[in-house]
Amino acid sequence: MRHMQRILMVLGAWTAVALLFSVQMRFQGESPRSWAWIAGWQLAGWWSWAAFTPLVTAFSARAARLGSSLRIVAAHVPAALATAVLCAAAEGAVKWALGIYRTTPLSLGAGVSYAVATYWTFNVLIYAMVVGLYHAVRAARLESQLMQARLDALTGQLQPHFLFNTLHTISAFVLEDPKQANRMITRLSELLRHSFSREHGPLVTLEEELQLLDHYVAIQEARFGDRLKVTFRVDAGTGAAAVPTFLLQPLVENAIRHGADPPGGSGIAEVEIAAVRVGDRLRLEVRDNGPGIPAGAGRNGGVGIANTRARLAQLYGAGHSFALVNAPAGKGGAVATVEIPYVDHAYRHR
Amino acid sequence: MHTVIVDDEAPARRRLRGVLQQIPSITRIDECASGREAVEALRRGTPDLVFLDIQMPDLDGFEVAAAASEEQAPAIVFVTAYDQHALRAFEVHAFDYLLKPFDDERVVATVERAAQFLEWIRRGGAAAGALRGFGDVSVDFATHQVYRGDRAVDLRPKEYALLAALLRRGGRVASRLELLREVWGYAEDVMSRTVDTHVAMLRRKLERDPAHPRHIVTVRTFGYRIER
Repeated sequence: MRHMQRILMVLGAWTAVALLFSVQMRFQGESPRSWAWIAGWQLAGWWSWAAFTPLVTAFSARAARLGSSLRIVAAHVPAALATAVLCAAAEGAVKWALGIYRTTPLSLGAGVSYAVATYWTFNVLIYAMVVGLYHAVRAARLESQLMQARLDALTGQLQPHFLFNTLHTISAFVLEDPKQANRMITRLSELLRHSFSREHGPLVTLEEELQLLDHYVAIQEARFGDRLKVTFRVDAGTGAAAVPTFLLQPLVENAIRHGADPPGGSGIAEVEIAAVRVGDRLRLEVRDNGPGIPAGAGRNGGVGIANTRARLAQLYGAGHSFALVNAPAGKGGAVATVEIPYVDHAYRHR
Repeated sequence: MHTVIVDDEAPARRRLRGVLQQIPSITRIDECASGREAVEALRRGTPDLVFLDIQMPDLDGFEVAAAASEEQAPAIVFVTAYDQHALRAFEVHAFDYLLKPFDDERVVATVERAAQFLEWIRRGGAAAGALRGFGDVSVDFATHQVYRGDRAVDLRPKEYALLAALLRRGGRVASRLELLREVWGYAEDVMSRTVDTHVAMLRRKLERDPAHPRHIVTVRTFGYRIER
């Protein structure tokens, strides 16, 4: 459906251009041609461009990944010449087929070569215009995606429902166990303080991130009691690694939510958080013992997870990997794995 | 009243139990720690009032509500931290919702209204006739006459139909869309202001203080209900 929409849009745009040229053609010169002839003449040319437009934009998309602008321009020069000639040839062939040449040429070859000789330079300019438009649209789209990712990263740090559920649990403890209520308020305050803080950039040390996670986990353990067991398995020496702030919290939240219904009916959700250095990479894992991801279902679609993906892409581009998959057979549950370049946070800030 | 608390968090269950224990009309409180347990409990017994958490790991609150028997449906009060969920609760004909965290008074008021609603249902509910009135307002459904005390109130036909539609629900919430369909016969939510302006007229004629209505109550962003 979207494909069809695009085709209609491209065709519509070139038809509008053809109309503009038709009007101009009708009112120039002493003895104008008929509207029908003019329309045929113009549409033959501009609809040829409509046919070539998808090829040009597809090529532009590939060329845009070449990186430097010099290389992009270099790639476009031969493509521009080839497209200009081919498009003019197509125009010539259609005009010949319609039989609308003023000086009715005798052969198809003569019609084609006439069109190529007349239009190829003009077509190079049209090619440049199409590529220019493609880049303008692409830049606008990239900009809006970046804005959205930033916005999500800002607002998605702590889900409001987590805050309200925690307040509710605290209100339960206020009467029956005031000390526990106090501890939870302190934990929650630490999380909120970090959420509201503007001091830190997008990256913190793994140690800081794990401290935050500890507050989060302590709150969840207070809520779910014996039904939740969280373990940390962190390699010594990874504490100074730079990680995106609040990277792990949504993954742990996801693991708790989906892991809370383990098969076998033990009723105890087990979540394991691991950090390992593998060469020049840092690997972070969040594993649960839940029923795993059902075939074809979208546990990838959660807001928190989508946020995590977007933030990783924004921060590391191709330098990261993120996977949310079922654990190997027999181990049960799902595993979220993030790999990012290992960078010493202190070093990065020097 | 026999009540069931369904929530996967033990502290949250204790919180609600603490309030319910102090209400004399509540004679029995059961607890369920998961959606599946709740479905079991609903099949086994016939509770009057169920407090139902929405987000639970196995079956969510909406799935549990769907499993409740239709003949002896309990009054369901959803308990949730999401206000978006609260609106969906009314679409499945929940009796009410509580937003976490809540205060004790809100729970007590909900239980009181639920008791009135259940009593109305026991007397035959909508089949035997609607609520007959609220406050000092009484309605004679045979003659379509509405009285405040012993003085007749002059209502226009649409106003009367709207009042009757609200009373027929015995205190349960009606969405604007339901009212538009029922009273005006519209298929779409084309002019939801219509309902609001007619409710404003009813309040002017039937409420003691129309600016602070006590009986024709707004349910934010959703609709209206009658409170006795």
